[in-house]
Amino acid sequence: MNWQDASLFALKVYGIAAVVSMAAAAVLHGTFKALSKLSKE
Amino acid sequence: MNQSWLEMFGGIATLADAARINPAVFWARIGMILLAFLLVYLGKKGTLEPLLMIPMGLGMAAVNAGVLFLDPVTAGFVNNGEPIAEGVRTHGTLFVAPLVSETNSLMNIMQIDFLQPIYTMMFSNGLIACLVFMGIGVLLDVGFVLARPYSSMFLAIAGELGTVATFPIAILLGLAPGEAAAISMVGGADGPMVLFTSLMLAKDMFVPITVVAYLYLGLTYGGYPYLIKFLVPKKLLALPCKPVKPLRITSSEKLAFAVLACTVMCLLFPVAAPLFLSLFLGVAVREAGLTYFTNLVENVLLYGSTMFLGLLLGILCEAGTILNPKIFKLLVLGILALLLSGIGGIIGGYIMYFATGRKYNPAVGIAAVSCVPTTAKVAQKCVSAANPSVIVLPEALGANICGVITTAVLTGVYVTLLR
Repeated sequence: MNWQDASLFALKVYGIAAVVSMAAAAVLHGTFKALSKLSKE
Repeated sequence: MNQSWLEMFGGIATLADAARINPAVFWARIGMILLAFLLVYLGKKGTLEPLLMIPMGLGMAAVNAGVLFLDPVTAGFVNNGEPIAEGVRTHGTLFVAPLVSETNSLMNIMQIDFLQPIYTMMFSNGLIACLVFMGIGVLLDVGFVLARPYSSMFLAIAGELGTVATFPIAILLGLAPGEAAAISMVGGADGPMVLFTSLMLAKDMFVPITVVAYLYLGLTYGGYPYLIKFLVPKKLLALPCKPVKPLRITSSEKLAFAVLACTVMCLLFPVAAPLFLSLFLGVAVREAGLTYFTNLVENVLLYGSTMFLGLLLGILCEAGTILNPKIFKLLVLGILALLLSGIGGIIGGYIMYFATGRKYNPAVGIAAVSCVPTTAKVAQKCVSAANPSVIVLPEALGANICGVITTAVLTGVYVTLLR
């Protein structure tokens, strides 16, 4: 692996991690909203 | 007669032998003993994390002083089935043989080296990382994240800059991809993650990588305030964050999150499933109100593991470790990873500052570097110094906890793609 390939690989890793992490935040937010709604009902 | 007197004191005899045969080892042993004293001093003073540095310093001093003459098998050198010449002696200790893997040698050494059972059963298989992570889970209050999930996670992603930007630099310096990924994980500022990644991807280098990581993680408390002062003007440091609507978050909601997040993460990255399970088990135990388990994990497992982690890291700091030709590169890359992550976190803080119409303190970004709760405390300390009435700790802890999650995700991505 040369440094150009490594840079592309690092970008790919960052992209995947960013998407998964933001999805985790959405799951967290969604869970909280859903549970809050359920407990109010 | 002189020789026998000298041999009675094995540590001095091996030191004298090293001075004669290999002066680099002689100076490395002396240097490591002095470094060990410095670590204990800085730990006691509070400049570095005392929970790690006191046992680590003591272990480092003992392993570099307590070297004696051993036969190669006792010292952990595997002969690969070849007979070892009679009378051959080598330098070794009675602590651990880190790279022994052949079953017969391992069984032999287990009965001789006093820390070998703990090392083999807890350290070299990553169990200690999982136990520490379980303890971190118990300390995490996901309520701080639930109050502001997107901004906290955004900051956490920004605070991983060093974890990815260091990778190509490490490749450029000639490291193998697995080694490059493991040393890049220092940018996540989470010791257990570095240990886990290096065990998975760079087993032969995991001792120096983990030692470098833990040495540097102690520096976040002392070094990051200077980075904040350099990058954030005093006027902005005194800025309060825009208040968020207070939420009433029940423990059931936090428990549901822990279960769901753990399941989803394990589905996505099974290779890092032990870490995810450990982290969220800690969160779940706390939120389920299992007081006995919480006390067990927090008081016994976390502190017990931290003590043995520090001690074993010290024991692994033999002179041979720093004579590894790659150690200088690891030292440079480790500090670079932490520096870039700190800069990334503060850039994230600035983006939040502009996105909220200048109602966000950019210094909070440093807390995205997930050294829980050290970097959150650093952010609050720097802000308090500029304006004692401003409290940013809730925002900082949100970013801090998200930082742990993003670092675990990055571990999963690296290990999945490179294993």
